[in-house]
Amino acid sequence: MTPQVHRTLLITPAYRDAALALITAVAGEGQSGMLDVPVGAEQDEETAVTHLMSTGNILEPFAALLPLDEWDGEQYVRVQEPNYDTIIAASGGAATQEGLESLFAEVVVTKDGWKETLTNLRLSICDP
Amino acid sequence: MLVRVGSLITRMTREFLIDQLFEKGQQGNWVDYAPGHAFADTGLSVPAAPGEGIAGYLDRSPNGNDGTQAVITARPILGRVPVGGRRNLLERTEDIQNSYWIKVRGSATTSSLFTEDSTASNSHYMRRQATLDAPSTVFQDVEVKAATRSWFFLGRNAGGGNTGAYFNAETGEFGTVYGDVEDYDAWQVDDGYWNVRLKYGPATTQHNFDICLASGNEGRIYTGDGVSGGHVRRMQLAVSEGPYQKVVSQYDITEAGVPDVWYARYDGADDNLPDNQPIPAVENGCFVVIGRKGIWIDNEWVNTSGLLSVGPTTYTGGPAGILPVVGDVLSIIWRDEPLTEAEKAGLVSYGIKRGSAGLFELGAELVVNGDFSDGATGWSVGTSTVVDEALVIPGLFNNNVVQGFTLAAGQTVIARLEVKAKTSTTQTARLRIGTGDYLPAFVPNVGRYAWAAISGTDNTGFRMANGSGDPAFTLDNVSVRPLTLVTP
Repeated sequence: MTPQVHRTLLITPAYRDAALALITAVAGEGQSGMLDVPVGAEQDEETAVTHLMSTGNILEPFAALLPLDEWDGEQYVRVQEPNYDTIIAASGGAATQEGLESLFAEVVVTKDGWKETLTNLRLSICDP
Repeated sequence: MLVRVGSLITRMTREFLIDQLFEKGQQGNWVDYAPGHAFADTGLSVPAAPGEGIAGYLDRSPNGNDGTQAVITARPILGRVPVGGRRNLLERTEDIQNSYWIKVRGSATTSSLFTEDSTASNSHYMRRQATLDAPSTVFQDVEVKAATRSWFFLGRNAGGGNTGAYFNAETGEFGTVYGDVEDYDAWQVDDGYWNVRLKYGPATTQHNFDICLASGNEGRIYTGDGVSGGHVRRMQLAVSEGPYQKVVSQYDITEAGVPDVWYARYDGADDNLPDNQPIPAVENGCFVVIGRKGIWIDNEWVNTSGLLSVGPTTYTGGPAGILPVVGDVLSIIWRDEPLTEAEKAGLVSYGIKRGSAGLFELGAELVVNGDFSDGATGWSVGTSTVVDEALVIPGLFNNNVVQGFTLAAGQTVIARLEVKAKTSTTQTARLRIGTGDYLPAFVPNVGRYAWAAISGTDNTGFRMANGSGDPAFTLDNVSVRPLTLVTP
């Protein structure tokens, strides 16, 4: 089997559809349920959803295409840039460098578990 | 002969459960998260390995209710751990080439050979930092074998030279022992290796597990030649003494001669398996989750939705938060009729043999007059009123519904309630047991609700408050019962 690695992924809601289209193009069908956990600021009952989250294993070759962020104690810092060329090729030209840069600016991808990630960012899973 | 009798009993018990729970054509499902039943693909053809997401399982009942999860991040992870649990706090214990092990002025040239570099007058070692929950006595084990270097210095923070022991893997003799090493021992194992064990006193929570090459006794600092080295393998750091456990990752831990406990770890965020699986409506059934921390038996399970999901924290029709209570999931069984007492006993026996800690039993009811048959007696309800033996809440904002009772802090409880009517729309309510955090808010639509909750820090009992807005509804059948682990 293809090796799997853990990732927690966060994205702002406006970019979810674009992200899912990209995931389908690169990782294949069946992933439309990703990025469906709403998260927002902690202890604020009325807060709108600020991000959508997925957490768990993904295939290592897919992870290699994504950016990677690490917590430096204050913020997530990008330590690996996405592989733009491969992603654009996999999208059949639908994705552009400019579009991807906008998308990945709105994304956090980390090896941290979801609880650690949300604690770092002072976010929590939203009530309905 | 005794072994054969025991084996026979085990086999009979297992066959009884599998064959007879569904022998009258009952609908249901028997999920075992174990080899042969858990798969890494939704086609159910590639067995899942420890650390991989479980894409699907084969139903062990005759009903064919196999379950799948297409979304890769929503799959629980398959794991295994020896019966009795994890003791070795390290990982990659047989692969020093992995980056988990920090190599300082040296490198791993094979999975077990550490080779020094040519740095002058310095230490050459490999390290892994571990953090204990609290200062504790620890046992540091490693197997070493002489190669071109025969002396090792094994220590805690040995790079700093603080504490540890010199050992000669050619002769099997210790050299100088430093610092807070309380005891030490070594014995020969296979292939020319020595198992060296150091016992440290509870000085610190930080433990740098260090293995240094040495040029001789007290020869930790020397000029490397760039080619010499020694063999190291099977590292173990534990707060209790015991045999070696091989740890590949947090999901793959084994111990020679000890059976594996196989489990699925639901992450509590987005894992769902099965995910909206079509099933027949269940009016009066049972749902059993066998977890490592304990077995949960819901023998009044109702699920008329025609769909079943398990995860992220519960199952369809189950109490929110029950999966974290039972821990890693070994097995799930549901059926469209309740279990008999004999079947319950059989399932508990089976679950404990699989590696569960025991049975979660519900204790006595803590709520007085939870059905409001005695008006509002026992309750503080603000402006709410009891009508037809149910509490009509005109709005929860500033009208908390409260009943005090004694409950130990940290006690897990099952809280239940029923919403019989509703006049508000999307406003939410929320529940708190004791003075801890409120449980996630919910929209109080007509129906039954249940939570597995952990009591807060004192005895303020049950409190229902508004989550958002001013929800108006009719409340009935409030129940809070402690959940206690029993080991039959």
